[in-house]
Amino acid sequence: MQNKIPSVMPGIMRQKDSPRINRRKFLHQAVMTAVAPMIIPGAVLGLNGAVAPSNRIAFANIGIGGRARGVMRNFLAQTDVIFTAVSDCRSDRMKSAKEMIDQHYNNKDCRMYPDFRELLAQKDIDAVFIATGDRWHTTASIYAARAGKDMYCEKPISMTISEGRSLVEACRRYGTIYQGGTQRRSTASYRFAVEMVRQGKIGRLHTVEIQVWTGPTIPHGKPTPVPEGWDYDTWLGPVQWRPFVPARVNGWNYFWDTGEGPIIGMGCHYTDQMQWALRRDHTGPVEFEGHCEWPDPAKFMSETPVLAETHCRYADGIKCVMYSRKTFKDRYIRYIGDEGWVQVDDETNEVTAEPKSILNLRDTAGISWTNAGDHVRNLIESIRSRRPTICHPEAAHRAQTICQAMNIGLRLGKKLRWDPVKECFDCEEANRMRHREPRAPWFI
Amino acid sequence: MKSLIFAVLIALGIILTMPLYAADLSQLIADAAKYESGQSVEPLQKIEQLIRDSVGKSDLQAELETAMIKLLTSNSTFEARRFACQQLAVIGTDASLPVLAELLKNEETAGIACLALSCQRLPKAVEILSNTLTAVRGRSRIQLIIALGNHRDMQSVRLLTEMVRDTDTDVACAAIIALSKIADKSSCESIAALRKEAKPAIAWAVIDASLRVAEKLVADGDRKEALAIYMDLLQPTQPINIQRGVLAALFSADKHGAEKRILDVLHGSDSMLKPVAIAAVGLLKSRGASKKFMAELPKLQPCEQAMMIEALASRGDGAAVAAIREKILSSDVVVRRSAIAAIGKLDGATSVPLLCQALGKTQDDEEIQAIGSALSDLKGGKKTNKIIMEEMKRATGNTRSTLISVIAKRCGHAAVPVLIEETAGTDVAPVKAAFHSLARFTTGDDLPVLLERLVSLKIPELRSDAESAVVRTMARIENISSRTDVVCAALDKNSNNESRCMLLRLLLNCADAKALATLKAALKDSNPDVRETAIRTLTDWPDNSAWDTLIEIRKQAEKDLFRTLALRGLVRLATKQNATADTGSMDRYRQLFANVQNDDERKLVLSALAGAVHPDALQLALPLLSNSAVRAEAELAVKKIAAAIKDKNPQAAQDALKKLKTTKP
Repeated sequence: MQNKIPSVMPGIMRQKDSPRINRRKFLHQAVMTAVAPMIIPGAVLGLNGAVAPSNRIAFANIGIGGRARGVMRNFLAQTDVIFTAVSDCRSDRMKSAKEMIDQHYNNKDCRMYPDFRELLAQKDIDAVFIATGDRWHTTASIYAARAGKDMYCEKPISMTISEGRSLVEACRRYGTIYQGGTQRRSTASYRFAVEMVRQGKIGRLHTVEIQVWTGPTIPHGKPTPVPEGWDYDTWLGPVQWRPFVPARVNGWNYFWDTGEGPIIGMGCHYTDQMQWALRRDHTGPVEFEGHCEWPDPAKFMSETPVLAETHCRYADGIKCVMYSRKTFKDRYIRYIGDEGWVQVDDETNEVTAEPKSILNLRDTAGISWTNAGDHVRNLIESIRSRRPTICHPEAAHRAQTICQAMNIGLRLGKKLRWDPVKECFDCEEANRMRHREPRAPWFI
Repeated sequence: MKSLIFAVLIALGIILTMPLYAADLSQLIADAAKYESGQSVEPLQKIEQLIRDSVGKSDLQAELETAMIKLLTSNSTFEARRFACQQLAVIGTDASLPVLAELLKNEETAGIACLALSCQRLPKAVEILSNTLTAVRGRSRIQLIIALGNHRDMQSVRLLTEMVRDTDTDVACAAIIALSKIADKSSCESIAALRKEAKPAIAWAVIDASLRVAEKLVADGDRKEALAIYMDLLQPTQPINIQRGVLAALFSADKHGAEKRILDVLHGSDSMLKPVAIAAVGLLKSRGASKKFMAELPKLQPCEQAMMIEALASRGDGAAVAAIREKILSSDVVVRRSAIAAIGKLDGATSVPLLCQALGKTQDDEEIQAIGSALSDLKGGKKTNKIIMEEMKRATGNTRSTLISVIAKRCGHAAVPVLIEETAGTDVAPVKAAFHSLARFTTGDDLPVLLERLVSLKIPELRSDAESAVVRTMARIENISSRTDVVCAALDKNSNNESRCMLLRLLLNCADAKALATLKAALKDSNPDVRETAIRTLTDWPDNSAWDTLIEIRKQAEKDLFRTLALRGLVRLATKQNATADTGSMDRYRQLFANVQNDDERKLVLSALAGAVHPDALQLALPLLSNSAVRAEAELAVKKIAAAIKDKNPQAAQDALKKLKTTKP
């Protein structure tokens, strides 16, 4: 309620007459002769060496927690990217992000914007890296698309199925280059496994087995005053108001309004891989069913499942089972065919397979998922070529929809049929759970 | 009696058909109404379970809806009411509308009321929202406008239209977007009028709304009207992201005009839009499109050409492939690289000579790798393999080595004979590449011939590459004795000492009794190099089966060096047992101490003993405390052993530490 909304949506009408256009034109002309589309390795273009400032893509960050700091390093490692601004509703985090960026560039130039809409209004920013809490991902992405920014957004890309569809539409509407943060599409081990599935090395794929960890539980906690430096109203964003409870705010991943537990937090990486391996980025499964164990309500206030086993099936019979069990270290994806299987263990980045001869086809172990550098690179090259990224909005949305449908099935305790064309269930209650009304003034 | 039974049955029937949860529910609602963060969520979770159970059961849902209404009307906490609204979002009907209407009026609860109403796309829900809209201000008003837009109900158009010129810009923008979601004729006219007015303060919303309207018109089949909006927005005065989005939408909405539009952009001067136009080439349906846009390639900047190659590649037809093939030898690196990357997935044997030519011309590692990948991916099976093989025979140096790797990748194990043949060469790079590929694709059956290649290697600097291929092949043979048999057979055939040494070293990868016996026999060989190789191999032996042999070497070896090597091997074996040390381990340590010849060697054994988890280890270490030369090592060993055994042998550990204090060197 205390937020003032800027009277003009950033960057829509103002750009034309601004000096930015000249810089953009210059940038573009320079880029068009010096920089190539995504298929051209950066080294050819001198991108691994010194890059003229005018050739750099100016990025800003919206939301900077632990994960963002890790990915930020991958951005900062790109010589043709410059980070110029940060925004966070927590002043301590915003300041520490500025320090990190300033330290990297050895200057004091990074600007801070407590209100991300002000950041989006800046004409000298080309693209944003969104790494807020999940509740903000879609809204911030759509505001950024309206403001003419390309982006990398951390996963999960949406909180509801309807949000995800809105994101796809907004990116198409504004010609936005969008990279979903499921960076395992750019990780050698996962790419190898997908390639083996696609080449039929395990025969006809019939099952995809996915394991994420046991859902954490958050003990009850009482409301406290909002700490100094927090803009809690902005922190909540599109989520309907509820009191500030430190344990809930810090454990936001495990409350339906703000997160959806490991089934989505990690599961969307794997459903993304599955969709990609099956070349089904524009569709999805047709059936969902599962069961789970909820947190003990006497001890815990968290809402997402502790243990779960949930299944889905594609129209052609290919099945997927996702387990939420065991420890964080035990996560994996296994593709099972009628002639063998191939598995990637996320913790170790190890690929195993049967028959073992499949592994002989692997050229190099490559870097693990913890380094999103190649995923960032793919975005940069797409920004220049205006070609879709490897994890474009439709792909990200469809992968996310699978996890959301799994969670809806668990919450309703019901087997659901899903129409991937109309994007609706065969169940009224489930259909209602596709959408959640945002809290004003935020709308998409 | 009959009437009594009948009455009981009736009563039972009533009980069974009674609202299942009525009794529990009222207590649950009473508990839930008091909920605040920090308290147990048990009542809330129970209600959620009931909601789950009620899916598809309208009578139970009605009962639960009544309960949620009660939760909203009583003196419930805000969090309880929030919870009730969440449930009503899933099961709510007309019945809950009156209570939600009350909540809409209050700024504090308008949001949660809209949450509850969000999926009730009923005329009455919209009516309530519309009726309340004029009575609220600030965020509540925006909240209701958003909700009306999301309901997409034409009833609210009149009211929303009144608000698009509201002095509060946020209200106006929300109303404009809401209208565009409804997008009936009247809404479209209002948005068109706003577009003409072009007020900067609401410009973003007007453009957003116009684009949404155009999308809906296309979806409804009214392309003419949609194209008019798009053309109106495709002006250089618009921001570049709008132009990009509009251009892509035009390509998609007006498929017949797409080719001409793309050409117009390509021939125009707006370089920011060219990538969007080029990307659209890949989506064109017409057969002649590839040929048409192929002709555009020379007119484009190199980077644009690269993008066009990508777009043509996504078309993948004959004309596109021919155009891309032509660019494999382009003098421009960007164009050439994009053609190389694209051709692998598209072409077959025809591109092999061109790619090989490109390979011969470049020294750049990344480009070599790209060409290798393209050659590996080419279609055409045996025909393509044959041509690559012919090219390989003609090539030398790095080109040949790349082609060897390509053949291996394409043919897998079937390439082994060719690869084996390549290992006989004298050119370093191809031989190295052949061994590397062999390491990946050989099986146990290939081991004899691989061993032959190892011993007849003409390039000594590649010995480790060859050995690595052999070791990886051996690892694929599960039956250890089969490995040994092959190596021993090779030893029998080879009289050359250098070869024998190489083969003896491989026995370490077998490590069975026969391998050990072979090494023991080699200790008596007439050649000193063979004897030394046997000793060095034994010192790396993985288990205690070599212990006695190493003790013998320690005692009787011809050279000090061999004796030292043997001691190191023995210490290594002893250390391996430390964590599970037993009396046998202690006996072996005793043997070691008995065989040391000086304090340096004693220190070596002590450092190993320090890791032994066994009380007897203390008995071996303690006497050495009095030896000033090894006192420091002995002290450390006693401390470490005592710490490791103290849980199971507290007294022994305590006594040892006491002795440590009292014993003087």
